[in-house]
Amino acid sequence: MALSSIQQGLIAQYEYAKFLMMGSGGLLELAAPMTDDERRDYEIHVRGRFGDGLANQVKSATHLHRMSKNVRYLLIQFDVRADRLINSPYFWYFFAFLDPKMMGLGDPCFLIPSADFHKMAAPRMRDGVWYFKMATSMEPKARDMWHPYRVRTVDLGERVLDILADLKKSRALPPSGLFALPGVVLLRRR
Amino acid sequence: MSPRLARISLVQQGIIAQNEFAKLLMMGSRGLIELAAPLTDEERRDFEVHLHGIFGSALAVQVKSVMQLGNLGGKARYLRTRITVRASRLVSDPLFWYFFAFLDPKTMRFADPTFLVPSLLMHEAANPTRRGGFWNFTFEASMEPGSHDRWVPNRVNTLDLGKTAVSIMRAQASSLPRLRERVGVGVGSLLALPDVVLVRKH
Repeated sequence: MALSSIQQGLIAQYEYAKFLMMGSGGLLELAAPMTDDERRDYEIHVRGRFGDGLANQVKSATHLHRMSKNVRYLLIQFDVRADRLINSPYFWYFFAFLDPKMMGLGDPCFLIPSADFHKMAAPRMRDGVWYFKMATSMEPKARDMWHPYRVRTVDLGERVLDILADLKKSRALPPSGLFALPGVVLLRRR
Repeated sequence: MSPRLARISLVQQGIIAQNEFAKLLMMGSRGLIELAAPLTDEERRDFEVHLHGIFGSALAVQVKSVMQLGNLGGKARYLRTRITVRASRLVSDPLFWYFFAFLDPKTMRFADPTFLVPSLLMHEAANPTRRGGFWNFTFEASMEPGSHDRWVPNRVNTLDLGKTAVSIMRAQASSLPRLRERVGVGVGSLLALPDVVLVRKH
């Protein structure tokens, strides 16, 4: 008997939650939405700080592909109804290899902002549905286009804390489009 | 300071340990084991565990974890945890088991070995003491590979947990009626009676 896709999905989510909680020293709180209409597996926030939550979708694979002799690839494909596609700085994807031998997530895993992912993951639209395909090398020395999004499992907590801190900073800034208007100057209180 | 040096809360630790246990059972049994979390915790079960499609011999498991090992004065590392149970809630049943593990803050997973202990053995061998309406138990097991303490037979490596749980459930399914007759169902409630003491033959 093989692990069902429901079991696999749940285990990957548990693993992700564990690395976030332990890796942040308990600072990160995770909540699972009651409904999945917006394709979020978790809402994540820093303990005691509300309003800056990060929504995450967790995707996993239990085997790696050999695309060439010595290179193992993580290959994940999925589709999304076009009206449910979310491009937001607060919506991120998490991709990982769930290693059946080690019974845990393998290194590296990938944390990718939704807007970047939707641009880079070979998007194809057919009959109102978007199809995405992510193929990335798992080899330590690889420098493919997903390389900047690599994270080690034990660093996930700190990485998400950084992401949340950056989002908080960027929210404090006025929209960049404002500066494109003629004659606009920025005044700040000291 | 790196946030990783801070400490997670006990609630977070409990959830992580339960999820880790569930993962190891599901993956280690290749999906054969199904787990369910009771809606209420009055019987002190964290999970009901059964084999896919086979009902009636489900194990109830309580998961206990520590994030620090002691050394009891020597070099050997010990997993030590204390449990206090209201006497009226003590469940001694062949299908009720305890699971003990060290959740390693560095690797962020359970370290080997872990321990699967039947409640009947636990309540007998884990230094039971009764104070008022409560039983106290102290589980103290060496984590060293060469150790020969009393908990060695209950050691299970994390990657073997699924297979071990499957064999326990299969064995229970065949021997349960005999075992229950011998031990008596509801020993827990017997121990809850005032002035009842546990006497053993040596």
